[in-house]
Amino acid sequence: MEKITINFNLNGKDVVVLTEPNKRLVDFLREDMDLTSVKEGCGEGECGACTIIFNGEAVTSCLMLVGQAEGSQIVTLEGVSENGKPNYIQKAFMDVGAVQCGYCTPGMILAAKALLDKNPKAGDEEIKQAMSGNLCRCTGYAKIFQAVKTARDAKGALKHES
Amino acid sequence: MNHNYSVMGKSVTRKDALDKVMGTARFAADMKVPGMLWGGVFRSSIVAGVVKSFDPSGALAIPGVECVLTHQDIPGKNRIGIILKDEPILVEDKIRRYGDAIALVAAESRELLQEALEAIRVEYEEHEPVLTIEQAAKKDAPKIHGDRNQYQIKHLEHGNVDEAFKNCDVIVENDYETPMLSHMFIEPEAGLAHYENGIMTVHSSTQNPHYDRGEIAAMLNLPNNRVVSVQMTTGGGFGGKLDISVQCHGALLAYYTGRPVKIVRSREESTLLSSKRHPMKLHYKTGATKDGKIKAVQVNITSDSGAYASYGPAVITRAAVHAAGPYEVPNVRVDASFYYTNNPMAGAFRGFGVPQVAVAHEGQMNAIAKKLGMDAIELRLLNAHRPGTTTPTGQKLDNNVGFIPCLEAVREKAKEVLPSCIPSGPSKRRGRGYGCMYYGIGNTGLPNPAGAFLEVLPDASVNLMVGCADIGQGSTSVMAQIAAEELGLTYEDVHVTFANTQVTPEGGASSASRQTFISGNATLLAARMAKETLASVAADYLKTSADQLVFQDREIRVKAHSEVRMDYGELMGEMKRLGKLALGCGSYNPVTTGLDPKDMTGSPFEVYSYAAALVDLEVDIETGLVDVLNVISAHDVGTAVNVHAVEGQIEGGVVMGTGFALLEKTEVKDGKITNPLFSKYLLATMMDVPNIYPIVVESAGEAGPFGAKGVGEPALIPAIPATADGVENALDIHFGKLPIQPIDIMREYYKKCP
Repeated sequence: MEKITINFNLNGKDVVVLTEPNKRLVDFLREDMDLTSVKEGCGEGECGACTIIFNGEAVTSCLMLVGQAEGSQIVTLEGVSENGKPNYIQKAFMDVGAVQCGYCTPGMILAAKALLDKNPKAGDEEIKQAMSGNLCRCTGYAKIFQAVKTARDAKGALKHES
Repeated sequence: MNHNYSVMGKSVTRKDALDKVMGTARFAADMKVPGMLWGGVFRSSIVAGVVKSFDPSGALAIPGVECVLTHQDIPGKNRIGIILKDEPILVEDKIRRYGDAIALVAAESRELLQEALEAIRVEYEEHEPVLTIEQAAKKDAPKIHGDRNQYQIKHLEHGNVDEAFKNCDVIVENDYETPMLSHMFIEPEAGLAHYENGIMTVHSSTQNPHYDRGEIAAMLNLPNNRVVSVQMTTGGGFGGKLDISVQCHGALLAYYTGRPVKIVRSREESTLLSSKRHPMKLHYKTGATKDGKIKAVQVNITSDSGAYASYGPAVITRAAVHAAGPYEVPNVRVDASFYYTNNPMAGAFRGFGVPQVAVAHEGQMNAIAKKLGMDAIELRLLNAHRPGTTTPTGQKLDNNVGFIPCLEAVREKAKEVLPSCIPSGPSKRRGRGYGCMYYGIGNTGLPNPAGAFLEVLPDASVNLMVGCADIGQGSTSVMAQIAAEELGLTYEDVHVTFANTQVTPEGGASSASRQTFISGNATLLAARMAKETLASVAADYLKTSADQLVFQDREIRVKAHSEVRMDYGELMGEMKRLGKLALGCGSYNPVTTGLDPKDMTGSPFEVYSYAAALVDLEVDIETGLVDVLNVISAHDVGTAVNVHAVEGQIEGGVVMGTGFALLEKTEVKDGKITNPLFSKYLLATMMDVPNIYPIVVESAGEAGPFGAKGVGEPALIPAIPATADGVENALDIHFGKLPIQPIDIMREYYKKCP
């Protein structure tokens, strides 16, 4: 199959890549770009493990083809940390014990980031709604919910101080 | 508990949390090495029969397809299985289930692999499949293995059941049925195998790398020490990653091609092939006197293990042992067995049969309470296991029993946090339900040791090596806490290498809620051995005797004179001067006895964990939907090592438990699972979960490390019967069959109120 060139912004950097157009975005990110934080859990857009932030929205990358990335801005978990250190959401996940097996964690953190970037004061129900596309079999969601609330409140407190 | 711990009982941040939130934790599917091939499996599209002809030529003609292998290419044993070696690695004589592995393919890319699998041609001779227990039980039924279909026929006899029923004031007799369930861990199985310099190395997603090693070695005719089995970060298991998945297939391809081979299962392949929860039919007869004392329980359990036994024998034995629940019942009779059929293989799933019997024994307790007009908690308090109780296997319980505090904690918490039970609308019915359980820690009446190696290094940091696979439950952090507490060091001082057969000792399975207790005790013993050397040096230096020393907070102090002390740096300097090394190893095997084959008498577990749960819910009689509002779940864990981790287990267990009661069911048609995907096998999302109040109850007893027992499976169990009871109480309808889905509620409700 003829390869195509696509231009997009990946984790804050402009990239130009030559790739097969029919490749799923999840495979492209994992295999061609070595961004293995993007997980595949189901391949049908149900579990949310492959969540990325695409033009500011949390989407499942298993349901997209790489060609759709043209001109877009994509953020994976690799692009979330700050200077190699966990950001405020990642830190909240660690602190409250929201991580068990860790397979859903990248998607969960990105879903939370997409929400809190847009709506830093998201209410509890808005959090539940925004996170409901991401399945977790280990935690019962209690500590993940708590982590997102903690992150939201921590960010609010930070802004208040400055 | 009145303990002055520095590290135990603290909510430490898991050792792997940073890598997991940064996305750098490496799961098996994330591995990529130069020269790597993609491996895959050609599977049976029929349920029962034989392969008449097999033609791989179409696949082999594709450039980039490296090989196609069948059972003839296996140099050693072609039989695997955790308890019974009944499963072929590649089909040899006959096909026993949909998806049985017939051939393996390795190719240069995933696309070529797919092409090759589609190019293989096979002709089958189909046989009449056995798809129900009733069919399997018929005399002339085709035999799945050997000369019969019924296996693991267990009989438990305690006291005199027939006589006891004659003296009961109330007798409750009911049928219960629990569904086949899928684990639905979010990470599908994956692995990478590599054969180099005579060593076969397999990295995989697994709950038991040491078991995997043995199966791979037997398949390849290699000594155990020529096979290295390494557990990669594993995305959940719940029992579904105890069986061999990709390990043997990957290893055979790597052995044959001399190149690294990676296999990654799709979600569909994962759900179709991994073991399932045993569907069970349970008949219960329970008798009590009018003062509420349970006098007799008689139980009959049949179960479908599908095409292969997997952990089926353990599920049956454990179900029988726990069938009467956490109550002192002087007269108990249980008959239990499983049948082979051509259905999907059932095996271990969080609880090994105890969730199934808990649905029934708690259903019976709730029915007895109603019949006698007694409060559900009072009835349980009256019959509860306590130190000194004799169990149905004749085991006299020691002081590691904390059931009554669980019941009391639930009752107190309910008074404190639960709002009034007023329905939220005219079509809503409120219900409150109760469920309890006990659970033996470790394998049932069988040896199941685990080991640990430990070294305190010159800078007082520690290398700890344990076989225990951390599948997300957090055992790695638990082991570090136990070692740090015993050595008087900090949690951060301990680095843990785990589940790598080249460097870690046998750990056994991360199952049966056993690792905190067993690997934890092994870790404690290893730390103690290293500490003995340290203590003898410190005692000389501080001019006292070793038994007068306290190791805590990176210091060594003399008990009676705490001003006489040295820090760990000084101690390690002294060790270096004397040319001594601080090494330790430990192994622990729970103190149990085998079960008498005649009546199952014995002490199958050293300790049991206990739990009680309360569920508040609301049923909408117009839609049949159930809204679970609040769950209180109290767990006697002995000692909580990492409180966050224990709470996390309970919260996860509650959601899985309410799903078991209301939502989940693996649908099987003609031997084939029809809902292998998340779009058809529904799990609760964050929108659906109740308020959960986890309560950690700590009991006496010192059998475990610092008194710790286990919580992984207990976390799931009590919420299941409690949820079912809540629905029954909301509608005053008895459902013996789970799950109770909206359609069942509507049908039964309109039968009752037409």
